[in-house]
Amino acid sequence: MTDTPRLHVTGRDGSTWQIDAYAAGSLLSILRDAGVDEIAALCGGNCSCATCHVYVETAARLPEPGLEEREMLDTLVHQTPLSRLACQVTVGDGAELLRVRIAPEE
Amino acid sequence: MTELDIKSLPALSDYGFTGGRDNFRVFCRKVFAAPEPRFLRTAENNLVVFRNADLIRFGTAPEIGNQPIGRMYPARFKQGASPERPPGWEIGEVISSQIFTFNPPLHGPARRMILNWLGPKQVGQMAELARDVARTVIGRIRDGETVDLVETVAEAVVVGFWSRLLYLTDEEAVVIGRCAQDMTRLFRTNRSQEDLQVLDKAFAEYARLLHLASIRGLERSDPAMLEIAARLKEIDIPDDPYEVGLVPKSVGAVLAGNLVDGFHTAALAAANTLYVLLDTPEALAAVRRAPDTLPRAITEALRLEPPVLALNRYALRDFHFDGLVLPAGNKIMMMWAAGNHDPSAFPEPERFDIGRPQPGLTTFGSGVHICPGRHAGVMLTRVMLEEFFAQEVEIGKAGKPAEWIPDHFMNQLSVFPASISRAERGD
Repeated sequence: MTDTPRLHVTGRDGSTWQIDAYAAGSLLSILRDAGVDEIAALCGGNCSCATCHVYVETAARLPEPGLEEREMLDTLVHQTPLSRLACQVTVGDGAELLRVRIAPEE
Repeated sequence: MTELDIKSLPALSDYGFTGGRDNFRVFCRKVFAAPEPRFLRTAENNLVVFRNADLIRFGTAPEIGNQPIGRMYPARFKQGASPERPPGWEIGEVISSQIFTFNPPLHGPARRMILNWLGPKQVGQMAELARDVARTVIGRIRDGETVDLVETVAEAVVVGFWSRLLYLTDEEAVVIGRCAQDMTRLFRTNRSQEDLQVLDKAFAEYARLLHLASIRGLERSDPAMLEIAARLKEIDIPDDPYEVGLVPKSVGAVLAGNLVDGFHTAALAAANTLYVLLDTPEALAAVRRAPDTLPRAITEALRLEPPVLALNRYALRDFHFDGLVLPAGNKIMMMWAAGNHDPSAFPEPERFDIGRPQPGLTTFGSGVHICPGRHAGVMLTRVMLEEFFAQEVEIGKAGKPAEWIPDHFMNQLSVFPASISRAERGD
């Protein structure tokens, strides 16, 4: 463990969360476990509603989004090159440094 | 694991619900007064899920799918069935192409096909057309007039929008609007033979017009319709009426199957939002002063008065939860509207509060089967309200009260009289 927060989250209103330890899993579950409750994820994390839209910056390379995720992202007004669906991003066991910003509601 | 004993559960009617909005409010106050019962049953002994956490849990469980068309209309798919078309046949003909009868593996590609047309970005590009329709509809109302906001405004904007988008003529728009009104009978708790006859006629005419719309759209190289046609061709999944669903056979079938809610239920969203805002004048005034709060106001209005009270789902597999099992093959009534009135999720649920946290809403369902057309319904409601504001039209309650349809699975106003006054223009 280092002193550097491994996950830095910025909410829609500018509030921030620093998460320095988390179990490997989907970014959505990590955010929820950390108490970031402004993500609706109405479909329950099944890549079907795009209400877990986030912007992700990372020093490490994340796997590219798959076809289903890309198609969902293409429906969003606030899509940018950093757009990801939190339910589709798998994060390793604390090794990655991520900066995540919650995207605006559609 | 213990099998959930549905027959021993209290009935919906024990808590006063027989369908309809007035019934529903009383039901919510009564059933949420205590943490038990967790579940209820219908008169036909189907499970009723109504608490917010359970709606989200059941809604997001892969074991709980849509009710397949073959389970809704079993006689239709029996081998050696009579070629005669029994009452209700035309409804099934349309609904069999609706995404709410699909399950994996058909559901995913079909859903993406709809979202590629009606996703937030795509719907945003349709807003100017909607605004043009709303401008005309609201512009027709005279100062001092009393109008029915359901028919004169909400239905006129919604039907006008889809009709223009889909190349229908003015005459065809009137006809399809009447079909949408007749479709209201689909949601009666006890449908009569007469209802089925009216519904068959309405659905057949509605499907004919949308088939025509698809031909016109394809002839004009409408990008959305060409994309739907291309995606339909790519779906290579065998028909399975008892679980997966039936692949739509044409672009017209996709439109007809999936725009029932567009033509019918989207108008409820618009009318119900107007109802809540007129019932909460301070909220309406606040939204007029700060139009950027309109999206949150609509969300909160639809939490209070969602278009859908309840819809059915189906257990595709045994569903294990909390030491209980709901066996495969069970029909489940999901009371989505009740989830929005559960005080454990929304304290003081009958109070309009634009600032309340909104995660947990069940207005449009939950899980992979959440309504894919919800962005269009909300956009139409927003544009309609913006146009009232832009034309400086004041809406007030009229002498006669609004009336809600009783014994119904929709939260639907039959009539909503309102008085209209226009600000004097200096020009």
